[in-house]
Amino acid sequence: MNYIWSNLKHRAFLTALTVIAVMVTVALFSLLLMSKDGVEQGAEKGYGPFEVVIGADGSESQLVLNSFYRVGAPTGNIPYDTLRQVEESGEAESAFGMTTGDSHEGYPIVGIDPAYFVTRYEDRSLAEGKLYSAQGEVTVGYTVAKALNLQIGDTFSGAHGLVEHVELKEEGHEEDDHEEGHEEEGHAEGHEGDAHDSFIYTVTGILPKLGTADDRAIFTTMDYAWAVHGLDEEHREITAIIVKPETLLGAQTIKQQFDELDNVQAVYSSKAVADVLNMVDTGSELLLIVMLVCALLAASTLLLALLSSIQERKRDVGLLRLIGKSRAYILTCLIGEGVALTAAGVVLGIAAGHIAAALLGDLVFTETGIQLEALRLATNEWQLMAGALAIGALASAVPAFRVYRTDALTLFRN
Amino acid sequence: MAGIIQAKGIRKSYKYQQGLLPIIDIDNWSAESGDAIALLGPSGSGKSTFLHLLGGVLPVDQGKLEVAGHDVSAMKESERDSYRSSAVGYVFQDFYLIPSLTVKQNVELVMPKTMNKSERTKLMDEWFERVGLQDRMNQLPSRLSRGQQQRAAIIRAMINKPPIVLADEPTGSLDFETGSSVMRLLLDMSRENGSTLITVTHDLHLAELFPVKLQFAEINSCLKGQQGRDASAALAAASPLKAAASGGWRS
Repeated sequence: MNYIWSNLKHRAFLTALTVIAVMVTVALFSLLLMSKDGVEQGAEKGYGPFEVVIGADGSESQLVLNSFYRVGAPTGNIPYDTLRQVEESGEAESAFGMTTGDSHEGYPIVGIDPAYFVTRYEDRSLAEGKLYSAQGEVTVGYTVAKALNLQIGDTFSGAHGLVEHVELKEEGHEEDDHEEGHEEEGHAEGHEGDAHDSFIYTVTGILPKLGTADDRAIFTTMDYAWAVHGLDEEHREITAIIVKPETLLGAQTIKQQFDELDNVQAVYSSKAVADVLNMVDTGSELLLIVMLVCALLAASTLLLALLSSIQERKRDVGLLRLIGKSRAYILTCLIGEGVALTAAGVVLGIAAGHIAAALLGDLVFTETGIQLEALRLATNEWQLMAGALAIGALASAVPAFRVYRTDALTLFRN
Repeated sequence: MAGIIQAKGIRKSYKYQQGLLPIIDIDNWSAESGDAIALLGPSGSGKSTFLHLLGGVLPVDQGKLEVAGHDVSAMKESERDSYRSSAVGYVFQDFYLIPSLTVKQNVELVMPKTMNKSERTKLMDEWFERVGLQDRMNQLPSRLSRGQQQRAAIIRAMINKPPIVLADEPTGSLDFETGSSVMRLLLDMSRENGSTLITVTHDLHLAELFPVKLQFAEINSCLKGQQGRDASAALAAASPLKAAASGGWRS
């Protein structure tokens, strides 16, 4: 051990460089694994008990992403009457209509019956205040309250679309300029910007940290959208209906029944989420390839460092052989040196990855909705450590075996 | 009393061009326990090869070589490793201290694992104090003078009290005064340990310090009839070891 440690100290710069290379690679891998876990866990618990979602025709993924993950624009609108039909079908234990499409400072405003929280989160209680009950009242998600420093009693006006509100100074400039991806059609939107600005929301409650996309949303009554957009009762529309079916068979019946309607689609939440995850997995695989290249570079750094070290130390090895140290001892020392470097890099890398996750977790969640669990090891993180050590040992074995045959006579040859 | 070293019919050859060039051919030679022998002879005459045979660094081609009760000529490589660690102390012209280890760690490297840390520390403290290096023992070899480095190397060779100490030109890279004090230290310590010391030297003045002076040509039949530099040059060319360019005597 003395010999290994002294060598590492003696070549401190190269040692530090090698450890840093391993550390950075492991930290990136660790963050990737935490993100992957975050995406998967977020997706798994993202739709709660709502097995079926009904919305306007279009992409199934888009419908699910918008309805449960508060990502992107809704696929369109469906008549409010559809919600009544679902409720009357007898197959739904509960069903909630949603109106989405507006936002405040980039956080989506979701119109939904407050009973949704009871159905979805059962016994959770609010962090502060009370749930909204009247038009214009809002309950904000944990992350939104934190990011915008919203308190009970604060007021704000919403914006049409899902991008951050931009102050418009030029006269006659349409508010649609700062709208992105929201395809809301069939409304008279002449001076809608004014309508949004004049509609004031008041914060009545703040949700606890739920660990779902609901942390990043602002909730209000479903009728806010109709009020903001000035829709009369006959033209009331919603963007989606999320359904908790009575039975599995009930889910199938609802899907079949509502999928047949014109301009309406009914999808199984789990299937659409699985489709999204498959897409994410494809992205992760690409990222993994990049990461593997990083790992290869780190392994090469280790290999080069050890090769150069061994070249310098051939005479030492000859001396060790002369004073009676066995070939096994030499092999153990050299591989031990590589493994020690890798182990230091792995420990520091895992620590760095988790510290980065702790520091950036809130920002990442706010920006992407991905929850990074900094305080526990991600799935496969043990395998990551074992794999890194194995690669380190393998990279060390190459130069170690090069000097394995060294005999005591080497001392005199050099 | 049987000699601590007994060489009977030992032969060693090196591959040279198409054939084999005999380097060592000793019919019968022995040394007594506690002898201090200065091995003399021109460079390339096989003295270092002989030391390596005694030290188990090179295997003997033929014959029987017994050192301190070990039949070195019959040993496998792994057995020779263990023989070197337990029975032989080496001192070299170039000291060969590992540069990344402190002087103390260099010495500790040869000490038996069975000895506990406090015993090791106590023993090393005594030895370093004796050679006047107690203040330098925790420094890297590069911080020490050449004479100090050789003293540390002598401690490494002697601390386990090996029955045999082999020194290959231990003063070759030191000035005369330092060389002389190092040689005396080597002699004193081997005498105290009861070790048999065989030292290759070209320095006839320093050789005078030894009770026994052995001209290698007297025991190595390969050198009989091959006079002067021609024989030495051929041996040097064939040897896998580094040979000194100069083949002459030095005083």
